[in-house]
Amino acid sequence: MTLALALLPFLALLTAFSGPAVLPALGLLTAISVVTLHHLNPALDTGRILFVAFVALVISIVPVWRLGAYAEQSEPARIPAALSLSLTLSVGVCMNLSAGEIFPFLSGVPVNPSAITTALMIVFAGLATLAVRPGIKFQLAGLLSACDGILLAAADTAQTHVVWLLGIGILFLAGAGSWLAQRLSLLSITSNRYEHDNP
Amino acid sequence: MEAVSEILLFLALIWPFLAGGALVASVGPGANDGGEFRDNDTLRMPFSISGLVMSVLNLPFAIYLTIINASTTHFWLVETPLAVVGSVLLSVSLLTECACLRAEKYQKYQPLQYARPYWTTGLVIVAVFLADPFLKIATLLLASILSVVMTDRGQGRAVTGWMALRVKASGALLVLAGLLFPGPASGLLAGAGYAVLGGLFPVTAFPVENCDQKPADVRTVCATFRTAAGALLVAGSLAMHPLSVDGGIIFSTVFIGFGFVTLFVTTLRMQFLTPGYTVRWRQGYNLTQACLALAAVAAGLELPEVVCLALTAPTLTLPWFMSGKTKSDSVRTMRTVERLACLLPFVTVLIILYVMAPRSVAMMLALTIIVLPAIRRVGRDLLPTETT
Repeated sequence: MTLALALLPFLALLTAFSGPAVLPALGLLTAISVVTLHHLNPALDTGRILFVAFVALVISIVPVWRLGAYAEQSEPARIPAALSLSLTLSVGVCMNLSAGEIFPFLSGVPVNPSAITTALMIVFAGLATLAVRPGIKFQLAGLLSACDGILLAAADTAQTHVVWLLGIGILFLAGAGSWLAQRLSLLSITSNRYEHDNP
Repeated sequence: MEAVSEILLFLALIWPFLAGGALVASVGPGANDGGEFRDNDTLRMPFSISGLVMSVLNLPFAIYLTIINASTTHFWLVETPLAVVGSVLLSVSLLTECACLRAEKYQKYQPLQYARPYWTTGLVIVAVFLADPFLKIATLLLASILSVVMTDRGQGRAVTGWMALRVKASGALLVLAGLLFPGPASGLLAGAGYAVLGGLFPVTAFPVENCDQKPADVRTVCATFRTAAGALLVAGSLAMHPLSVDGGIIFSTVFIGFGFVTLFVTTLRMQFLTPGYTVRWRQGYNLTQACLALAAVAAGLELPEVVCLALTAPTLTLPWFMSGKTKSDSVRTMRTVERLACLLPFVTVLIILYVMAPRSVAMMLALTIIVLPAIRRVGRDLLPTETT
């Protein structure tokens, strides 16, 4: 259990609260954890680890950067509901599905059990945000953080082709999601442009 | 023999993409010079029929290869008879959609819209044939993304697209989490994910259209149905060959549970429908939803043949329920459609009861009590009364 892995569920819970703002940090931490996994277990293929880290960085930085100019929607933010749902699901995962207890029986698989549990917590927190929180930017942030969790879990598995497949699929998903989000959001009037128009 | 079957399978898989491309080309640039699109109605029917013929031709080869115990694995694909039957069903759905829309000459679409049903259905068929569960779910997700991107290009359609993408993406991510997570919990997660993808209870397969006063576009409804049916077919094959033993049992239980709840809610909706002129297409929706639920129960019971049988009724009849009555459809067509829509689900229920009886009498009784009142109501609404 590295520091990056320990911080990941906390950041995933924060997505319900502050949406796209924490997404770059989440992606960065996912990439760091994936690279650390490779460091802990050199049996994993280097190329696919770098690919996963790359995809995690791309899906967390590019959509946030492209959606930065758009305004927030003024809908009632159901933060307590989203936060409590994701907290319940994460704690439930942590207590009931901790992979560390299962793994002694499955020897020979090059996996880090704590990473799998953490990944599942991130996925659930992201899906809770996607389901409960109104506003497309927040929902997209939830979707992308769930994708981060899936990537982290995929980097852990023994099958190599799964990683390439999931990486490409998630890139498509993030592309379609941010395309729709861009069409659904309104451009915000920044103070800079306002001054430029009325000197 | 195996070489021939490989070639046929390859042709059947590649055909929808070629047909879609040809349709786009036929309404290509220059087609609307005079303000009129060139009509490609004459092309759509033959394309669908040839797709269906190619899928059907695979069937004897798949059965033969299974009987002589030859290898049915071609590269990444597995050609089981059930997968072939599933692909035939999806091709039939394309054909019925074309046959139903043949009369409608005045509605024109963007060129890419003609290709969309073929391309998305092609991806779903590929997903049914693929061997690896990860590949299957990735292809299904890709089909959903493609459908959203191609359907909702127009203005004011982005909200619908995002709603659809949200549901499909959460389902697919749940399934992926289930497949990646080892141990018995994987069955729970994968089952819930496939239930979301198949349009079972918490998310109905047709969420938006149900509250409107008039039925939605036939193409959209049929496309939604085909993706849901594809997800159920894939889930049926996953229930047959689970990744782990414990996970497989939990997967089946979860699927039966979701199917039962959906069936219960849908039959309630069928019984308490307000009579009126909308009753026909509303019962069409409800029948489709009930058939999806029956297919889920059958998938949970590990009966892929019954999954195909349950999906047959909406495949054959759904477009006619949605399109409303047009002049070109004869009374006889309508009568046939209504009888098929009532008869096939009834047979499916009988088979499921028959299989379920030795396993659990309580579940059988519960299913009977749930379904019986709805059968009466649907029969009264849809079957014509003999007035002589």
